Amino acid sequence: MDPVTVGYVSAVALIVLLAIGVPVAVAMGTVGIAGMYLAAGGLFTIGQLRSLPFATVGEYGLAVLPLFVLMGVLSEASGITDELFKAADLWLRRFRGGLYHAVIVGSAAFAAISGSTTVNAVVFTRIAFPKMVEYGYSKSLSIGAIASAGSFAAMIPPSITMVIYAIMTEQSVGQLLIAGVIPGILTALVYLAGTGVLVRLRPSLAPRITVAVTWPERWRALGAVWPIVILVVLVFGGIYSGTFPPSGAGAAGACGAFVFALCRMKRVRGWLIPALQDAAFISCIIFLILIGGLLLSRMLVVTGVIDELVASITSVADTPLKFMVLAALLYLLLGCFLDTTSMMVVTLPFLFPVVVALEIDPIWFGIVLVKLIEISVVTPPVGINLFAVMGAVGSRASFGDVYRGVVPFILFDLVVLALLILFPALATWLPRTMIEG
Amino acid sequence: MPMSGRAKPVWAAWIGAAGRAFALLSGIAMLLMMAAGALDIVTTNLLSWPIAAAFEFTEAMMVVVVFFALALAQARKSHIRVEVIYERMPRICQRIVDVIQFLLSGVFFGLITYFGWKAAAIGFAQGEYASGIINFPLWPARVAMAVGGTLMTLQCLVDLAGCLLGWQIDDSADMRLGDARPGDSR
Repeated sequence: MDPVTVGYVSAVALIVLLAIGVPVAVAMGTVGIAGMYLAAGGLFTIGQLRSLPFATVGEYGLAVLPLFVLMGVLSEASGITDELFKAADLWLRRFRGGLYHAVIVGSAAFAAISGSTTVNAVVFTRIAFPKMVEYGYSKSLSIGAIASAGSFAAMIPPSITMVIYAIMTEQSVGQLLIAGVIPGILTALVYLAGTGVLVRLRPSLAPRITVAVTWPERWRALGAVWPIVILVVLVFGGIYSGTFPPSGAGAAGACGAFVFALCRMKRVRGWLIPALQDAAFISCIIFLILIGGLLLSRMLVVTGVIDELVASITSVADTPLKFMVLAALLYLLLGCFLDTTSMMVVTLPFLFPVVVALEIDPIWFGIVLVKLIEISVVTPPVGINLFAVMGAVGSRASFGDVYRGVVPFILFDLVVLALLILFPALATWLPRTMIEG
Repeated sequence: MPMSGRAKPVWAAWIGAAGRAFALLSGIAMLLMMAAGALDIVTTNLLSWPIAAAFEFTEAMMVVVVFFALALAQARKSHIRVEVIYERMPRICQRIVDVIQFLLSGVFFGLITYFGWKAAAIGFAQGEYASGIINFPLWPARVAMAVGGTLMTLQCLVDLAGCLLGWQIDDSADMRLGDARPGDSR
């Protein structure tokens, strides 16, 4: 069998293994190894097996991943998210639909210290949903707001999705993280404006809350979230100013979160070990997917499939816009079945060479890609954030509620996506102004 | 979860227990990695005195974090997978898929482990190190990878044997809420 045929057969085998439920990392890894062995021989394959897993896991530049995961897990364990939502609620309650706005603002702020969309959605379901139901808010729109705002974590730094894109495409992690700031804030603003319009058009979606809140209460609540401000300044400021590399920012952020958690919890028993295990666990799963994805990627390169695919795709999608439309359709479809990390690791070996061939700005493409991923995790029938929220809501809402609730937010996201495609500077301006560490 | 099937043998339970202990070590390694990174930033930026081998130490801890948490992740069946079709399969087909996935996982991690041990042995024999202000030994990280990989391979074999022989489903691996919340990136 010639190498290109091996490459295509391997791609089909990968799809079959993924479809029947073999873990993503294992499917990519075994297909990558088998394909490499058949196309390039035993010596090359052994060389990859000997060096790649160790080199991937023991690469300082990738330390940013477990450290950002740790920062998010420790922040959540400290209970700071509850304070965050409380502060957002007290400050925004006087507006109609204030709890929707509190979810959006709170999720955006939590996204600035946590990189996981699912964690974000689950945490806010636990904190915000009961209160929204209590005040007579629309169950459906509440779930939609929580699930969709949860996806901010993919765009707003420290985003694990963004780091993985940077690693897979050999781009600057720092630049990509900073590039997500404006699109992330823009998305939150569009959500705020959109829900504001919705509740004006249909006031029944958000009854006015009559419980009075005093100014001292508001200021006290705001005072309780200062750790988040410090963490955000530490991480963003450090990366943007070039004071430390992203991995250093991760260490500083995780250490800050650890200190705040210690101060809040007063003792280490009961929360620290589970939090550390969780963080190790999540990191381990992400790294395995990376190892599998890199093995697959090497196989696709040595078989020559990539060159053929790039030629085929560029003959169909010969302009960046056509390619972006194709990529958008692909990710919206994949989002129905795969989580964000897997989606990216499985597809980038095929797609990124096309990006290079079409001379698309890789930072801009990364941001558009992450936006597509944000949309895909809340797109019915099986967006992964929808399941996360449904799991946390339990029997208090039906799938129908969930599906109806996310539709307006998907429309808001499409508006942001259009803006990002029409105005690439939204993604590329800020990273150009930063000082690389 | 209701218990079904035959009891798991003692050696399989020991592998599960080892997986939990190693996951704890993985968490501790994460804390050490964080402390080393933060301390290095402080001393570098405030005292212009970077900690010797902080990068290399972080890299070694990353290996421990990832490979020592593997077996527990496998025991908890937390690896990310597409379940849309799997969940709709009849039980017998699910069992066949389980056997396939445990076999593939065993082969995949077995290969990584085998070549990991070989690299560790060579590294140890040659006294492999990363040169810097101090020469940081690399072979302990290679050994850690091989040890974690071995435990993972054994856990895959336990799962395979459990699936084929109908052992009781092990709830102890799910002793706490910490179900994987993949970075999604997840």
